[in-house]
Amino acid sequence: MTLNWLRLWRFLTGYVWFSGEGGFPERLLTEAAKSHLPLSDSRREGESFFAGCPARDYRRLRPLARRACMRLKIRHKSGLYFRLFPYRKRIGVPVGLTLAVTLLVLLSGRVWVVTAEGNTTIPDGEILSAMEALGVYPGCRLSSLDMEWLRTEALTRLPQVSYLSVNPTGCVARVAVTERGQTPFIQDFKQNFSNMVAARDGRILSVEVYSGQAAVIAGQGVTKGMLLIGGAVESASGNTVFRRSAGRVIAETTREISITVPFREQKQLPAGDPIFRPVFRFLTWDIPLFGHGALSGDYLVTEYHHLPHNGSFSLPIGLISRYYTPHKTTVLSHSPEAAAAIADQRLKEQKDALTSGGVTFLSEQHKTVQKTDRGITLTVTYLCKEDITREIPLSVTENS
Amino acid sequence: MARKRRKIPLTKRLETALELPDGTLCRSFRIELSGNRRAVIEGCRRILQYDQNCIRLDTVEGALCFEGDCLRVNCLSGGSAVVAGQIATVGFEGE
Repeated sequence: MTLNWLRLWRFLTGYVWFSGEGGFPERLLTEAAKSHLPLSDSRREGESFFAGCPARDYRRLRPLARRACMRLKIRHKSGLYFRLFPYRKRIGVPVGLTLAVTLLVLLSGRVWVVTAEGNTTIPDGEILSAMEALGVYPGCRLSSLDMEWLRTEALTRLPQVSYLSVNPTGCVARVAVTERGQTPFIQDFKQNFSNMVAARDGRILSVEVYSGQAAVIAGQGVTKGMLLIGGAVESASGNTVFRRSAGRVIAETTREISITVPFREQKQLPAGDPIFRPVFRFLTWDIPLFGHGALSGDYLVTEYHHLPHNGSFSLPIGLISRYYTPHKTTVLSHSPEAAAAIADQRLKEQKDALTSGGVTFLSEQHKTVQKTDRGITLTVTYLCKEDITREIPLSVTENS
Repeated sequence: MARKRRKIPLTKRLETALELPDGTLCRSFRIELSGNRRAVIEGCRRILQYDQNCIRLDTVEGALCFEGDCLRVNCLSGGSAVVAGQIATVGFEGE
């Protein structure tokens, strides 16, 4: 038996290292050999004697030690039995071990995690929901997956994907996709005839015409609804040709933003302590760990996932803590100063929304704050720069 | 006074006559030395003395004495013993 196997055997069966004082160690060794009690690694240090034997043989060694006039004392116990001995009264340990082994055996043939790879523009959720509809979800059997059928079906469901394959790695189903290259959009200007008109009043700064004929020049003032780019173009032969007009007309405009904040306003606010309702997630099932009835009213739900995580994905087994915070309609009272601050905040939010829509704020022209008994009204006029074109269809009637 | 001759067992004499290997018909002991660190002794009956500097074993052909430093008996079972340590001398003491 090699040393490693010997160590493993000793670990499984349990081993005892003991010392003996006084008497005749040579006699103990001889008697032990005659009784087929194997003592190993015996050594003598002064008057002490040290050796080791299997745990089950130690009791048989005691009468031999008595005959050899020695007193034995256990120095060290090693092995699985001694490791598990302190937990002998803890029923949870064997139950947990049995459960873990059972789960491992039952779930080793199933998909635990489905992940999407290779996608840059398509969201993970879209791919995963398409795969779930085709039967690839946490808990499905790995052996039941028909890869060829999945590929064909998934490609019809996800038109923006040019290649898809499901690669099972252990209990993880990796959905590898290659996105279809976007072809450039070609505008057909010979269909859907249209004009471009001004969406708001302003002074033209620049005109860029892609299709159609410009009806205004830079520096000209326009009013809302005025024609900017015409869809009817006169050809060299003198005929009128209709087109779909396209272009950009950047103009200097004036925008007035008005914000009213009442001193008393109603808002949905958290009221009371959150209600804790944990659930145990097992693959796709959420097993409730609470015994109360259904909740009525409005609640804000906050969810915390306690799932084992390996750095790249979470296993779908673990605890999910859900906190239901009740929400109530509450009347809020603002002081004039607080109302002004809220108005400023809301004005900033509106400006941000307009900026993201393509409006550039050049300067603030006028600002008024009007205070009434009910609330405060903040009105600000800005000088802006924006594209004021708005496309309207051009109806063409053929005269016979 | 005539010197008493030591009696050689019949099995031993047969072994010698038939040129058989030692230990085929009669019990004998065998030592296998691995340098001066380890000795495997077959035909060991019991341990006569056991300390760090001297280990005496009773064999079928008399006492066998190992002297040295840090001597220990690693294993003793089935008539075999393993003596390890720094063996300086091996001595035989006839019956």
